[in-house]
Amino acid sequence: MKKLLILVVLLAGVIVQAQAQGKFYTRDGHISFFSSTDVEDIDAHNNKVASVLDVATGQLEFAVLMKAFEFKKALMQEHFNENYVESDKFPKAQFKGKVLSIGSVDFKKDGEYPVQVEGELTIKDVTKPIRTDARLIIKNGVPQGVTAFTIKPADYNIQIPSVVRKNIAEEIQVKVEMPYQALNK
Amino acid sequence: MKKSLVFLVVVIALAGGAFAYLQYNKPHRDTADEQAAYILSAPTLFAEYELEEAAANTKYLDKLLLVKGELASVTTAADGTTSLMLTTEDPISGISVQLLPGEEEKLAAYEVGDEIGIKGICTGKLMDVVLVRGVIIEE
Repeated sequence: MKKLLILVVLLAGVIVQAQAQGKFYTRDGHISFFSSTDVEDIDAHNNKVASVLDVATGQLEFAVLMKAFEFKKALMQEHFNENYVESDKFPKAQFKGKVLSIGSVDFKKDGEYPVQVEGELTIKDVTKPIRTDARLIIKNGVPQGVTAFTIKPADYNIQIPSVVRKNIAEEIQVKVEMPYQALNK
Repeated sequence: MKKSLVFLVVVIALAGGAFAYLQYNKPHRDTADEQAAYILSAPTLFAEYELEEAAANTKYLDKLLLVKGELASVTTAADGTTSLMLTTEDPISGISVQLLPGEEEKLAAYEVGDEIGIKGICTGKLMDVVLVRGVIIEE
């Protein structure tokens, strides 16, 4: 009887531990990008990014629908989709990677934790390694992921016609905000 | 002869300038006015994407869809954008519709579980099938 009791207590401990770890997801992640030149500033926003974060392993993935980027100017949105990213052929961009040293984040203590994210970003079927600083903001055990980095369109086979070459920056600033919620399986 | 030629050149230049200006400032697609390419139910749309995503994209990507379904939830993003979710046969996923600013006021007439009709431009599927520039159809 005593052995059974000890086993139950141990099991309960394991289950509680497993719940403190676990997976988080969002279907409303926000990614924006910004290009600034002397000619004009261009920015676009996407509020429909899907992402999963596995706290136990640090594994992080997100997927973006290119056609869900909204620009102020319809013509820019058209050029972006039809000419630059060819979203009919390549409707999604993806990131697969890891939050390094996620063990240093205390999910039981509210606060901002600096982390590093490393992985591979795929746009237009071109995959490049990416490594960037990020923050995990913990509130009531739930994380929000925030990061910013730059990418070069040329790296992803995004050809800018010489006619508008001066309108678009060589490096685009990307901002990411992922408000996660617990994934209850 | 020369005068009329100069006049013609000026008219063409002005017309070209006007066209360029209008193109540069062309409006976004008017999802309220534009006729939907397809009318279908939320479960049907989701099922097509589940069956074969590439085929569904060929059919629906960038098209204006009129989708009818059960209102599952309403969410507001940090920047104030309102989205609604339509129920499908999948327990976790649905049709996610990002509404145009101002449309959320129409939601006052609806409760979770009500049938609702929306029009939106299909951008593909991640967890959900995502429609943007959504407007609520008033029955």
